[in-house]
Parts: sequence; structure tokens; C-alpha cells
Amino acid sequence: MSEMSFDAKSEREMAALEAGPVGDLLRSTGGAIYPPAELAARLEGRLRAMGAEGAAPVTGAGKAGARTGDGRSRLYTGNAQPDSSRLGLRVPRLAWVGLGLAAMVVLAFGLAGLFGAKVGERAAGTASDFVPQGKVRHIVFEDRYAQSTITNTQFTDSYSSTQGVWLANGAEHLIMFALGPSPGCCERHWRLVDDDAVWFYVRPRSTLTTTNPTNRSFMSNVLKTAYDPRHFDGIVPDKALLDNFLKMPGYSLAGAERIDGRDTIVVQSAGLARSIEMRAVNGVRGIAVVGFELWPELGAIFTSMSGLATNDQAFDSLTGHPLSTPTAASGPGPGVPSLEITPPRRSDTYRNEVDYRIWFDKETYRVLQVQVTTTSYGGLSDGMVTRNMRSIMLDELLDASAVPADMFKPDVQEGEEVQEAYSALVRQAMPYADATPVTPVIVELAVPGSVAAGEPKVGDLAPDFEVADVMTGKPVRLSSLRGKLVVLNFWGMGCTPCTSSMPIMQEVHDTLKDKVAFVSITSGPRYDAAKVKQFVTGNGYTWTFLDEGGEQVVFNAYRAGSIPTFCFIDATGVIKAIHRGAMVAGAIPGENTLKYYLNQVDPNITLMNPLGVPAPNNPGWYVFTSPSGSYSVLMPQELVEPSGRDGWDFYGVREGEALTYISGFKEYGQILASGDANDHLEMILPEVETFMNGTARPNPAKIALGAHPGFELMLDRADGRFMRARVYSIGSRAYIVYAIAQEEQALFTAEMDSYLDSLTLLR
Amino acid sequence: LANTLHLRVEAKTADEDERAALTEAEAVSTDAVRASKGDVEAFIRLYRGHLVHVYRYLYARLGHKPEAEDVTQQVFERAWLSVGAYRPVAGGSFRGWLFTIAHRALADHFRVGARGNANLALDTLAEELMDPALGPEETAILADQVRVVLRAIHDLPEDGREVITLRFMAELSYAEIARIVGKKEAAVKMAAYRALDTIRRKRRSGDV
Repeated sequence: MSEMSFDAKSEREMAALEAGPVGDLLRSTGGAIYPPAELAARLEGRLRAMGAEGAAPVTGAGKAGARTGDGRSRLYTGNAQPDSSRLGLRVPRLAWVGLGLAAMVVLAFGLAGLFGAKVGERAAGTASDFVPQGKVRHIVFEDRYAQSTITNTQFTDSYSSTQGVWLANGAEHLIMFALGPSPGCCERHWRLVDDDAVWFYVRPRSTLTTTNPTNRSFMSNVLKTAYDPRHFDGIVPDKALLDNFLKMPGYSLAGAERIDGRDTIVVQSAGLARSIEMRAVNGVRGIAVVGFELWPELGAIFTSMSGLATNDQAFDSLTGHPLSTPTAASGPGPGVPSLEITPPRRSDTYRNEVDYRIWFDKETYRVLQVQVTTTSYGGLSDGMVTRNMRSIMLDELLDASAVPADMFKPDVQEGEEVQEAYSALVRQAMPYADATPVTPVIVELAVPGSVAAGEPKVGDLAPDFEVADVMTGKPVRLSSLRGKLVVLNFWGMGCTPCTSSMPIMQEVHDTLKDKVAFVSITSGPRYDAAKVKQFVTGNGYTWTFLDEGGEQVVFNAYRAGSIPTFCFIDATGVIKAIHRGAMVAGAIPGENTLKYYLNQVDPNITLMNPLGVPAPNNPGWYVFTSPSGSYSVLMPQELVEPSGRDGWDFYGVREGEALTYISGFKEYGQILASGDANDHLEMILPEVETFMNGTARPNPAKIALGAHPGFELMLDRADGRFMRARVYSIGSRAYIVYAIAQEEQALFTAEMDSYLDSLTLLR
Repeated sequence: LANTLHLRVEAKTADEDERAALTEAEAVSTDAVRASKGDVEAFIRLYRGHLVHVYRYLYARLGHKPEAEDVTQQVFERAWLSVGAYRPVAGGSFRGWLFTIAHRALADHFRVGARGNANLALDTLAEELMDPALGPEETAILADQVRVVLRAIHDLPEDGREVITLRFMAELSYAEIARIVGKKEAAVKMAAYRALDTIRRKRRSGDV
């Protein structure tokens, strides 16, 4: 090795290389290699045989044994143990915060100045530019959608990543509470956003991602595993902790049963124990990521049981069962009963969840039994996560040396405002964030925000370029298309939302080719022109396809950070609208989103009927049905605008000077459209209806599986300023948000009620 | 950004090292301790948790399935035979310990094996190694990538090759890698830096 000194500059350069495409390439290569299953099985048999032969290692009772001799002490590190006397049970939300802190993973860093987009340096926005232009005060963001829009044959790209991008845009701090493991969407996101995005994927110890090895292609399954107490022998939770535990939102007493002649208390999670997924983009200055592995004890149980099973294969070998074909041949160990595995149920193929059910001995509080229920999509294996992750030294981040256990120890006194707890989090994150002092509190969203430097905005002249046509090989210059409306479409072949948009494009192209020029462009090393050509020919698409190769000059110029991105450029070369996300047909019967856009950006193009249908009994009013059809709203026509955001309900509802977008219930619509999980739909819709009617809160138990959050965002119509964000959930998960900030809940409830009052709900 | 954070991460105190050790102990303590006392089931749980990385590391270095399987088996056999002596150390992890064994087993393999280090047999069907979750297109692309990237790693000088493999296949920290290869952390990082830069240049020129 070289004797040269490795200075800070080299270190920085190396870290940049690691974090950049080279690191990505190496990581994804590693992540692609798996040991053959037969090796794993053979080797395990071999090891077991060695153990049985008595080839036992030299006993080493010394240091290690002594250090972990106390069953409890090893489960906690210092102050991570919640102090119930201080937090108190009278204010469970604080207790909850405290407990959350006990196990949370907190990452903090600063991005200011790195992208040349200082906070405070604001670009003018317009109402039609759907990037919120505000300094986001704070966003409580439950990241579930990317996961839940996955169907059995495809996944719709990164609903949440897309939202994540623009929610984060210009945010001072972003505090995200994200509970959904959605690794499936991350790849293209960070890869394309490239230097302006940071992607975190944090997998808490207790998350087990399972897939069905016999049909991993997005076939999901439900695994119910009852662990034998011997798997976690000796782990005895503290009674006070259990008491607290039971008071925590998200866990509930599920009754009492007798196990092995012992009376037990059964505690049921409400789907809280999940992976944490975080991202920050475009100049976010501080991030606090708060993970919800609520109970460290529980984490320890799973850690000790699983040996940190971090991917499906490990999990397969851990359980000794291929998940779909239970066998008794390789159970968890001699004398230990085999795992109980229920066959996959198609109707549960909805999301990836891990729920716990824990049986405590009523007297001793020993854990007698734990049941893990995992509902998961196939294909979302840890390997994929590893491959996809643009990790900034993830190991280190997860390591206590990077994030000391006491890093966040907010001194929240009983009765203090919950926001203070937030502030404390952020304050303590600061030393780990940018050295630049930043206001360590959640700031009011007020100032028009910045978009990433150089990002083309609506109203800008579209950056010109010249790229070869994949069909003819001849260069096509964008500016040569002036005189027509140009729809510039950034896409990739592996991107289902991209390709699913294309039949819609073809349909519109067929009718409008004289007025509108469609140009689809690919980039990146994975898809060369020949493959694109084959694709285009095979599908019979007739508009223009370009491929710019691996340099991503055009993609970068347009900041096509997520695909598909559609850029609508008018006859004079000015960008009229940008749409990130797929074009969707049938959101409104017989129509598609591309038509809406064309209608919007060019007054000379009329492709479709008014958005709503005339209300039969209310002259002048129209009925607007949500994309999913789950609810309809009666409104005057002029109050409605297309939202222009994939994943958000199609209507922006004008309220005075504000324009509100509702994330709504689109996912169900998509699931319905794909013909998948109709069972869920049937289960959920009545609850949605109940919710929307405002007559009662939904029954959490009834829709536990279908629980999902919604978002509502209000933008100022005049300048696109981001005025307000709301998060709401249906079902048990709502408690998460609410417990953190009950003030927010109250605010939300009041606002939501008043909002609902302002609409007439038909269903 | 990554730079900033990384530097911060590296600048840890001895105190934090100790804490890292505790956390590591939390993660695998039960099993590592049990295994060190002769509990083969505990060891098998550890094995299951680490098999993928050990295999990735060995496959990346050998590029040959049967050999990678052989050495993988040796690694875990040796690990079982010496796990009784395993003690958590400050700043170290069980995986780090395991890879010390893997590193030596690989060196032994090169020493006694008929095939020299120079022969990277990348003619095996890398497709077989892919996650079966992937579709055929993805598999083909990834298998291609694996071949090309492993070739590029193989073309690195030995120190860079080992460090890069330990870093990206075994996913170890530089501190752990330094312990494993018996070099200073700065030297390990230097090697990694040069290797990464080489790969970057190859990537630029389209070789990777």
C-alpha cells in the first residue's frame, strides 16, 4: 500500500466516488450476487453435523458472556431506556415520543450550499408550476404509497419519491415519519436525481422482508410465524415498560390466553414495526429521521431470533422453510416445534407489513410467544434494497458510532408542547448536520421556496438539445420542432409507469400529430438505442424516440429526476407544464391525464369534455368523481382544476386564493384498475366512505390492513406558495401522526371537518 | 454531502467505538455468545445472517462458482471451529471477525490452489447467481454487469482488489477492513480511493 498520506481532500473525493455512480455500480454488483440455495442448505447441514459430531468450539465463557450476562442490560444502551417516571403516563404522547426515541434512528445532515441553492434565495413560482414554493415548516410524512401502488405485475413508480422530492423542495427541515418499506421505487429515483438527492433506506432490526421464492415476481404472500419461546429465552421485559407499551398508540391489548398452562397478556401491534425510509433532496438543510421501532425490547427479541435476517433468503434459511411450501424437515432446531405457516393469500397482496403479536406471561412478563405476520410483496428483497441504495455509508449511519445513542435525548418535560420535542430533535441533529448554524426549529412555511438551481420551470425557455433519433439515427434538434406543441417525455424501458403511459401517448398522437410533437427520450447505459428501437418497433409506436446514451445531459438539463417526466413545451419553445409521473387512462372514464394536460397548456386543443358531469338536481353544478371512484363531489365547475400531479387526486379544489390538492385514495383506484386486490377494495371503500362523510371515524380494526395516509396540500394560487400540508390517515396508523402531535390532530380534524362541510358528498 | 457526513462518521471517539461494540453486541450478542459456548444452532443463525456477504466476497474474488462454494464452506467450518475464541472487541463486529477468517481462507486457497489469482474465471453463468425475484431482462443486465464489474475489480492491483471487495461485497467499514488486512486505515482508504478512481476512469471510457 502506498505510504502517501490520505488527507481530508482524498477522503472527500473517495467518499464522493463511493456515493456516486462508481459506488452505485459496485454496490449493485454486490447486491446482485446470491449464493446458490443448494449451497446454503448443504452448508447448514454440514455445520449442524459438525456440531453434532461434538466438534464444538473451545468454550469461551469469559468476557463476552460476562458482559451480556444480565439479560436486560444488553438490550439497552444508556438513556435509550425510556424513563416512564419522567415522561409519565398522563401524557402518553410524550411517553410515546420518549419511547420512539429509544429506538429511533436519527440522521441529520445539511445540504445547504452544496447545490448552489441557498435557502432564502427564492425563485419565483407560478400557480401552474406544481412544485411547492414554500419553506416547509415541517412535514409529517408517512411514506406508504410507493409500496401500496405495487400490483402483482408492475409497480407504479415512486409515488412517494416523487412527492418526497417536491415536498422537500426548499424545506428548511424535513421531519419524516415513514413507516413503509418501499425499496422497489428507490432505484430510479436516486439514480436519476443523482447529485441533488440523497436516499436513505434504514432498515430497523425487526423488519423481516419476506418473499415467495417460488414466484417472486411481485407475488406476495402472508406469512404467519409463531416463534417458540425458546427462540427468545431469557428476555424478560420490565413490567413498567410493558405498562407503557400497552399505553402506546399502535399497540393494544389483544386479550388474554393460556399458553403452556400460563396465563398471558397478548399484545398486538397495529402494523407499526416497519422499515424506515428517508430521503431528502434539493437543499434540505436538516433532516431528522425518526424511526418507529417503538420498543427496543421487541427489536432485541427479533434480533436475537433472527440473527439480523436482512433479506428474504436469509429469512428463508432462518425459518428453514421456503415460505410457500412449509416442510417440517428443517425446523428451527431439535425439539423445537416447526413454524406454523399459512399459505399465501392472494387477497392480502397489498403491502409489506410486519405485525407482531406477543404473549407475555401475566405474572412474570416473560415473553412466551411472538407471532410475526408479514404481508409482503415479492421482489422487494434486501438485495434489491442494497442494490438500489445510494448509501452514504449506511453501515456507519446505522452504527452507534455514527449516531450515538444519546444523540437525541430531548429534555422534554411533561406538558411541554410537542413541537418542542420536535425542536429538540432538530436541535440535537444540528451538530451532525451542516456546520452552518441553522434555525433549529420547525419553521413556519411562508417564504416562497427555491427550486434546484438550474431546474427548468414553467415559463422558462426549454433547454435546447440535439440527440439522435433511435429509428433513423438522424439528429433531432428540439428547437426545430417549434411551431408545434412539444411533449417531451423522459422515460426508461424498465420503468413500468413510463411504458404504461405510452399507449395513451400513441392514442393522442394518432389524433393530434399535426398539432403536437411527441418526443420520448431515454438515457443511461442500460438502454442503448438498439434496445429502444426494438421496443418501439415491437410496440408499434410512431412518434419520435431519442436516446442520449449514458451521459444524461438532457436528463440533467431538465432535471428529469424521476421518470416518467413529461414536459409540455409550446410552439415558441416555452415550458408550459411539467408533469412527473405516469399518464393514466380511465381516471375519469374515457379520458386520460395526457388529454387534460394538452387541454390545459394549449387553448386550441380540446380533447375532452368538462371535467365533471352536470348534476341532475343542481343546475350549474357538476359531479366530480375521484379517480378511484371511491367518492364523488358536487361542485361548481369553475372550482375544479386538474391537479397535474400523479398520485394526487385529479382535482385541485379552489378555495378562495388557495388551491388544494388531495392525495385521496388513488391507490385503490389503481389496484382496482389492475384487477388486483379487489377484496381489499371491498373492505376499504365503505371505510373510506365513512371517512369522507365525516359521520364517524373508521374502525381501525376493520381496515388495519388497508390503513393508509392521505395528504392534503394547499398552494397559493397566485404564486404557488406552499401554504399548508396536512397528513391524515385512516385506521390505526392515524394514531401515529396524532400521537406525535395531538395539536396537529385537532387542527386537522377541525380543518378536515370544515373542509368536508364545504363539499357536498354524494356517496 | 456524503463527504461531510462520512468525515464526521470517521471522526469518532474511543467512547463511540465502545458504544459501537455494544451495539454490535446487541445485534448478535445472543448468538455470538451462544455460539462461542458451543451452541451450533446459534452459530447456524449467524451463518444464515452472513452467508450472503461471505459468498459475495469470495465469488467476486474467485469468479468461479465451485471454488467460491468450496471456500465458503471452508470459511464457515473454520469459523465454527474457532468461534469458541471469539470475543467482541471495541469497534469490531462479528462480521469483521468472520471476514478475517474469510480473508485468510482466500489467501490459503490462492496459495495452495492450482489456479492462481490471475485466473479469474468469469465464464460461469453469472445469471445463476441472480436474485430469482428478477425478471429475465433484469437478470441478463445484472449478470452482464457482474461480469464486467468483477473483471474490472480483478484488474485492480491486489490491495485495491481486496479492499474494494471487502468494502462493497462484504460491506465492511474501512476500520474493519484495516483490521482484517492488517494495514493502517489510511492505507486501506488510499487503496480504495485509487481503485475507485480507476474504476471511475474505466467507466468514463466505457470499459465498465
